[in-house]
Amino acid sequence: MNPKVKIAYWPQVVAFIMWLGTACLTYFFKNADDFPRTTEFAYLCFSIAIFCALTLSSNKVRYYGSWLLALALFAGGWELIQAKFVMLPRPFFGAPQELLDVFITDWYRLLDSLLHSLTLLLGGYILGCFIGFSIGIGMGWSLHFGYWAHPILRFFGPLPPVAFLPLLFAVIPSSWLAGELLMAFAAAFPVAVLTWSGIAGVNPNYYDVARTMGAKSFFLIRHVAIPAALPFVFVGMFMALGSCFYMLVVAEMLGVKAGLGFYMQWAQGWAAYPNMYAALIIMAVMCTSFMTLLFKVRNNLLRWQKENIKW
Amino acid sequence: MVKKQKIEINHLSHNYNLNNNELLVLDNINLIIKSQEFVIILGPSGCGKSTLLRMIAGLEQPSNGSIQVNGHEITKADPSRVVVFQDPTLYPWLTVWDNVNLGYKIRKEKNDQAVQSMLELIGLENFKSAYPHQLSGGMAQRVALARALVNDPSILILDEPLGKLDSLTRITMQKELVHLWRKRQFTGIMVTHDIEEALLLATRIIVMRQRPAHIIGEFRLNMSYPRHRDSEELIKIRKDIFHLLGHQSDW
Repeated sequence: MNPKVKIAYWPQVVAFIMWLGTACLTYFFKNADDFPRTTEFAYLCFSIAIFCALTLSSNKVRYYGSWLLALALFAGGWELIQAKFVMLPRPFFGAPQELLDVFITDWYRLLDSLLHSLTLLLGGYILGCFIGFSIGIGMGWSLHFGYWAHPILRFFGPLPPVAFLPLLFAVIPSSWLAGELLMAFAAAFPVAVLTWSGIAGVNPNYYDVARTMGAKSFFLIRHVAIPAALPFVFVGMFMALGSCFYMLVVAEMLGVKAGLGFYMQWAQGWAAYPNMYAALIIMAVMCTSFMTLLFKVRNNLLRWQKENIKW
Repeated sequence: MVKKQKIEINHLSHNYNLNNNELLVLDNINLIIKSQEFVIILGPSGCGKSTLLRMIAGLEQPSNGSIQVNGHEITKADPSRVVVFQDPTLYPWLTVWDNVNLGYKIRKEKNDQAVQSMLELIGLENFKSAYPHQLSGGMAQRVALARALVNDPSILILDEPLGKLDSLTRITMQKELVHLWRKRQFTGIMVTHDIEEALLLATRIIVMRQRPAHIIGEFRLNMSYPRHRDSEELIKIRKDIFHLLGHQSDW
């Protein structure tokens, strides 16, 4: 965002009006059915309208003015269509205040599910990245290690981790541990392959330079091979994060009795669709936060690179 | 500090294994390089000059024959013999300062003073926190020279270090190289296929012929620096070298 570029005021002014309008619509017009938390939703919309008014002088917020407006239109339209006229089939589609109700009444269980998902995801991902990274370095550096690791990686690597799911849940009594292992497996393969190819692709002169100055193997691995391979390692880690998200949902829906995936499954069983939407939103926030975090770590470690894309 | 180093190359031959065929790349090389000489090995591309340099550096072992420094066989790489390659091969993840500091980091020593004065010597003290991708080709090669020289090597091995620079930068760098060599008093062994470069820099020129590489001629240049391209002595040596390489008066 260039601070010198003038950012228009009108989108945020209109956004203020629209949020105010949505608040009035919610508060003053009669619901078509008995929806909870209508007053609270009106207050929420009103608060956002006030926020729009108060931050009008901020360039940073005004940059997102059009988004604030679009969201106001979406919220207002949704309120009108569903809460006031019930035009979409229930219970699959809820009203905005129903979603709000889920966050207010069920926040404890949502938070609990989130924490379970987080531990499962983080544990498996970190373990998998560590294993994959070690395998990759071993394969890139030692012919002996590669002799044994390469065929195993080739045989099992391309297998979708989901394929292990029935077996692991049967063999390992703790479904949480089984889930953890699945995630680790999902993460390890891409990290191993990319670390390996990263190390194999290091310019051999980089080693010669260090060797003529007296470097031994440990220095060559730690200070030459690994930093040179790091851009590849991160590509692997991004791929790994994607498959871990995927494995997380599958594991929680099919075996692990906790977490957001389990919550969704449960919500579907009770036809509590607003709860499912709430869990979906939280899951999206969780996934995008992890991506953002990984990008931040990468951009910091690879700041020596010419180009870094912004997430 | 004057470092007495005598390099003796005796009956050196080397084979490469190319698709299961033994390929002779160096054939019976005999050469003695005295302390503080600036020897330039001149020859066509791909004639095994670089292989010879790698062996002097201790990065490769010859198939036959020996290379000795002060009577000791070279068996491994050593900080007293540092190589500068055709590509700067700076580590892109390190700043200019950290690249120059590499040798000290490897040996777990600390000598910020030496790094700083080396950067001043090559005129890049203002670029010490820059990353290699922010440097021009000439600047990067200067940093590579600094990274080598900061180790205070007694022998500096230069594998076509100016080969990829544009011709104007090249002239500047040639001057700089002579300046550094005279100031730091190392023995220089350099490979090039540029006759002019050899004439301007060397105290001795070794001419090699390819496949398998062997020495076909040797010229001593006792002129002082800076040398003038059109001096009679250089013109004569240039002619002789051309003749030796098979180019007659038609070129």
